[in-house]
Amino acid sequence: MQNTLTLVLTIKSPADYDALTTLLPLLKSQMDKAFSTLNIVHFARVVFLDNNTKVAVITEFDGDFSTYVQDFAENLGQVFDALFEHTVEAPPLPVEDPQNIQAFIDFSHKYNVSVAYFYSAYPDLTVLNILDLAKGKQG
Amino acid sequence: MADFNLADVQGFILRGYRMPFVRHFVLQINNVAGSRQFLGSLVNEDEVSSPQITTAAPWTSKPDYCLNIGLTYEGLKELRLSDDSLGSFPPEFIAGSAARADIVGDIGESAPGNWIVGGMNSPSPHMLLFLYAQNGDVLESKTAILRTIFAREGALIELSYHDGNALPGGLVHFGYIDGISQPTIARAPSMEIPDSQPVAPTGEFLLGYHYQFSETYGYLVPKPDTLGINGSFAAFRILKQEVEAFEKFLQETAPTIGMSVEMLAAKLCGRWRNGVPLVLSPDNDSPDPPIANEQLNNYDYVPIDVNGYLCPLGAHMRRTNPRGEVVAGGSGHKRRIVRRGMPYGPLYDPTSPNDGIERGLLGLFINGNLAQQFEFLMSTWINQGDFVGLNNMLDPLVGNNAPQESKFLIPSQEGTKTVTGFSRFVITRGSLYCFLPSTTALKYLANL
Repeated sequence: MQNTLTLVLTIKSPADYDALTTLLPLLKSQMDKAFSTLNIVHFARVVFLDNNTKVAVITEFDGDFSTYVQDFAENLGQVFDALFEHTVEAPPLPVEDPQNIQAFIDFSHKYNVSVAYFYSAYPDLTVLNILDLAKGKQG
Repeated sequence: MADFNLADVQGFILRGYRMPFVRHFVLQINNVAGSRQFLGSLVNEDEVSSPQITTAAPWTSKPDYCLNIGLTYEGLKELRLSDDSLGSFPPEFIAGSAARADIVGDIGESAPGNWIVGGMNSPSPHMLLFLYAQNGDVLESKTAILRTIFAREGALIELSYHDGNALPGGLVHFGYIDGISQPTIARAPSMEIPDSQPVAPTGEFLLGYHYQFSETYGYLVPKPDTLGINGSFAAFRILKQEVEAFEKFLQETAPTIGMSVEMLAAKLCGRWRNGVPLVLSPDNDSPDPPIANEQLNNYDYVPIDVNGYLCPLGAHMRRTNPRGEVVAGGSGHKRRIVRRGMPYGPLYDPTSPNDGIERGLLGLFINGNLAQQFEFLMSTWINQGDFVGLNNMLDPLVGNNAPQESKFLIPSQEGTKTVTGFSRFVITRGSLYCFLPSTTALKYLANL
C-alpha cells in the first residue's frame, strides 16, 4: 500500500532558513544514496513555504512508516537531525538513538498533514515492482 | 558496555547443542521466595544441589545434559521486579505473544484461543525450562531431580511439559534437513557452518552491544544493567506441521507443472530436502563433485540469481534470510535470527497416512529484539510479499496461506510456473515470548 508523509514544520529564524538552503545541497548525495538503499520511497521533495518561514518534507512511499523506521533512522538519521536542528517542532535528537525511535514515529504521525486528495497512477505497484518492471525482470 | 564474558551468557544463544532429546517445562510461580531460591540454585556452581544452567563458556568434553531458562513478563512481574525495571522491557515483550498474535499471523486455527501454551485459555506461564539430554536416561533422571526442586516449598507448579526428539539425519517432518544456516555472531566463538554474509553484530543477539543499524547504538537494555546486559529474547513456538497435507500437495501439484516432487519441494524451500541449496545445485540434489558440508551455507542470491531462476524469490529460505538480495528497507543481511528447534512426534510414515498423531517443531527463535527480528520476519517477510516485489504472496511453507488466495511463482528462463490453491502447512499451537537472562541476572533475580 502506498502512503504519504507530508511534514510541514516552522523554521526557527531567517538564519535557520539560510542554514537549511546551504545544507540541502551538501546532503543531496547522502539522501540520494539513502532513498535508493531503502527501495520504498517513490518520490521525496523538500520545499519552502510561506515566505521561507516553513519547510515541508513530502514523500510517497510503500508500506507503513513504523515498519521501516529503523531503516529510515539508520539511512537518514543524520539528515533528519540536521533538518530538525532548524525547526521549531522537532522530536528528541538524534532520531537514530533507540531511546528516541518511538518519539520519532509519534512525531511523524503528529505532524503528518492529512491528505485531502491523493491520486496514484499505479496504486498496487511498489518501488521494487516498478524497478523490476523497468529491468524487465520476470516473476 | 559490558565485557563479553561467555560464562555469563546462556549457552543456547550462541551454540546449538546437537543433543537428541529436549524437554520443555512450562512453569508457574507459586511461592515467590521459593522460586527466587530455585533461580539461585541453577547458578550456584553446586551441581550436587541442582542441575546448573549451561553457559556459552567453551567445554572440554560435551556434557550429557544442558539446561537453560527463559522468563516471561508475567514471570518477572511475579518475582516482584520493580515497576521501573518492568517498564524498561520492550513493549512487544511486555504485551506477550498472545497480544501480538495478529502481527505474526497467528490467526484462524493458529489464534491464541486454540493454543496449548501461552494462549488466553491456558494458565499464564512464568518460566520455561529447557532440558537437553544426550539420551533418554539422562533426560528422565534430570527431570526427576528438577521436579523435586520445583516442589520444594511449593515453589513452582509444572503446567505442562513438551518433548522434542531429533529425527534420523537431522530432518524435520517436512523431510528437509534443518539447522544449516545460522548467523555468525561477532566476538562469539562460531561453531556453525560458515556463511558468506557479514558477521552479525553481537548486539543483534545479546543486549548491551551495538546492533545492525548503528555502530553506536544497540537495542534498549532492560534496567538495571545487572539484569539486562548479556541477556536476550526468544520466541518459543509449538508449530504443528501438516505433514500429510504437505506431501499430498507435493504429489498432486508436481505433475501438473511438469516437475518432479523433489524439485517442487526444493523450489518451495530453497534447498533440496538433503540440504543442498538450489543456488549451488539447481538441477539435482547430488551434484558431481559433491558440495562440501562447509559450502552448504556459503553462497548468495545476487548477482547470480537476481531473477530467481535457480531459487524462487518467494522460497522459504530466500524470504527469511534474503542475504544480498535487494529488499524493501535496505539490506537482506539484517534481521538475522538464531534458530534452535527440535521436532516432536514420530517420523511420518507415508505408507500409513491419517495416523492421527500430531507432529511438528518445538521452535526457539532467539534475537536481541523480538519486534525488529522475529516479528519483522513473520509479518513482513513471511506473511507479506511486498518487501521483495511479491505482492500478496506469502511464504509457501510457513505462511498464513488460504487456498483461495495462495500463490507461489517458480520463474525460469522458459517462463514462470504458478502454483496456487495450497493451504497453511504450519499451525501455531503455542507461543511464549521469553527473556533469556544472563547468569548475573539470574543471581540478581534470586536475590531480589
